[in-house]
Amino acid sequence: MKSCVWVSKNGRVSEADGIQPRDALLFATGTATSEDLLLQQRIAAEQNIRLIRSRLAEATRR
Amino acid sequence: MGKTKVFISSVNEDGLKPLRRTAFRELESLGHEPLMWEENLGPWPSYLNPVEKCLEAVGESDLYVLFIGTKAGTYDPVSGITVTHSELISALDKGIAALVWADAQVKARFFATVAHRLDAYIDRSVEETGQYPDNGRLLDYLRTCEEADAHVDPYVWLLLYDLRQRGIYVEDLASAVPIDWKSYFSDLLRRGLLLLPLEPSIMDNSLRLEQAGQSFDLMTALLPQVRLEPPGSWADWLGTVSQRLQGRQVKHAYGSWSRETVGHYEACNGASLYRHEGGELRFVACCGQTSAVRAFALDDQSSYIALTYGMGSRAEGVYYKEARQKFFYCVRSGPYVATFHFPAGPSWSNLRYMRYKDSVNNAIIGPNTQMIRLVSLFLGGMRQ
Repeated sequence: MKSCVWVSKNGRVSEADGIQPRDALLFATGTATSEDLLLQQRIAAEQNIRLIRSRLAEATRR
Repeated sequence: MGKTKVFISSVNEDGLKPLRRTAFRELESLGHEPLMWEENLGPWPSYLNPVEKCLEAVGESDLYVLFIGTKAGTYDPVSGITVTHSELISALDKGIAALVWADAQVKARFFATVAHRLDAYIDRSVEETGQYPDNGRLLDYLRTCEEADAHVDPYVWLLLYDLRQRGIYVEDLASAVPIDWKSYFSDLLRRGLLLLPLEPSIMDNSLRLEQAGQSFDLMTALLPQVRLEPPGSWADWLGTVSQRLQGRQVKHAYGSWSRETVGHYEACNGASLYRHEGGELRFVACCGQTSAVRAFALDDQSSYIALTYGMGSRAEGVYYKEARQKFFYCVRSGPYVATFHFPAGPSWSNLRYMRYKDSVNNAIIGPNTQMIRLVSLFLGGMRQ
């Protein structure tokens, strides 16, 4: 999902477009959540462990 | 006993042919197994894609050797890279060690001027369009760049630029100076010997990492099954979490390899907790440099706390306010919304946040994913 920036100003939320006032509150939707990132990190760690183990097995095989 | 397979890569240009032949013979005489297109790779039957076969051979090698002259070789406009570049990317992607040489004059010109011109052009493009220019645009620019010698194919500069971005050292290639292969292999042997005895420690660490992951999984499975008493001091509880939330750089990725630091945020300097009660979000506690507001209406669209609450029972989000020069990370769990305050570095503005929102989000949440999960589970498990 493509992320989108929203702005809260004068008590109302709308899609942020162009220059926004300094006291506006900005936030994005559609960005990765902590669960998405945790899952990506776990998959990457598992792949790294597999690669290290296979390389060490290959490197120490006689 | 296994031999070291060395993939020799370069454009098959006239100037590099003697070097390639010599390298092949010398590597062979040293007892290694060199792989090179014109010697022992291909030709393959017409129904096989020679580029794919070459990439397969790269993947099966132990060392990737690249010579860069003045020619770029075959450019694929669909992928936007040359065949030689795709071999390099494939080798690095598979974690294969690379040794790279480039024509000494081309390399000197690149580092003296062309690299800086490319840096400036890319910065301007990012500033104007918000996007990293693709290789087609970079090549167009290089064709007009006075410092990029006309006798050097423009893509050669891009290849050198990519190597610099990846932090790969490029050796000088001078026609009168032969490559001292024995020294390079002695150095590789020395580096390998430093690591090989560490095998038990590395294996042990990988096992501990797996066990830590399993313990975390067990904890996240058990916590939702219990009810917890609220802590004696919510302010201390918030402080315990927030003091572990460090400041970091915000890096923006352009594709898989290029990354740029676009700003930073400082360590968490305050936190607050609100709870849904009596039709509003009531203040529970705060710590650090925050001020307490007694309550927010559920439909208060100016409050990041009310906005996060309204997004659902497990919502979370990063907010930015230029007037306070802060990022606010809010996480909702059941009736609670916890907010952690991070001072934004001086480079941030509304426009910059809008441009790099995903990178800000990932920089604040990414290093703290396990902690956030635990905070969410603890809050969700509190007895009402």
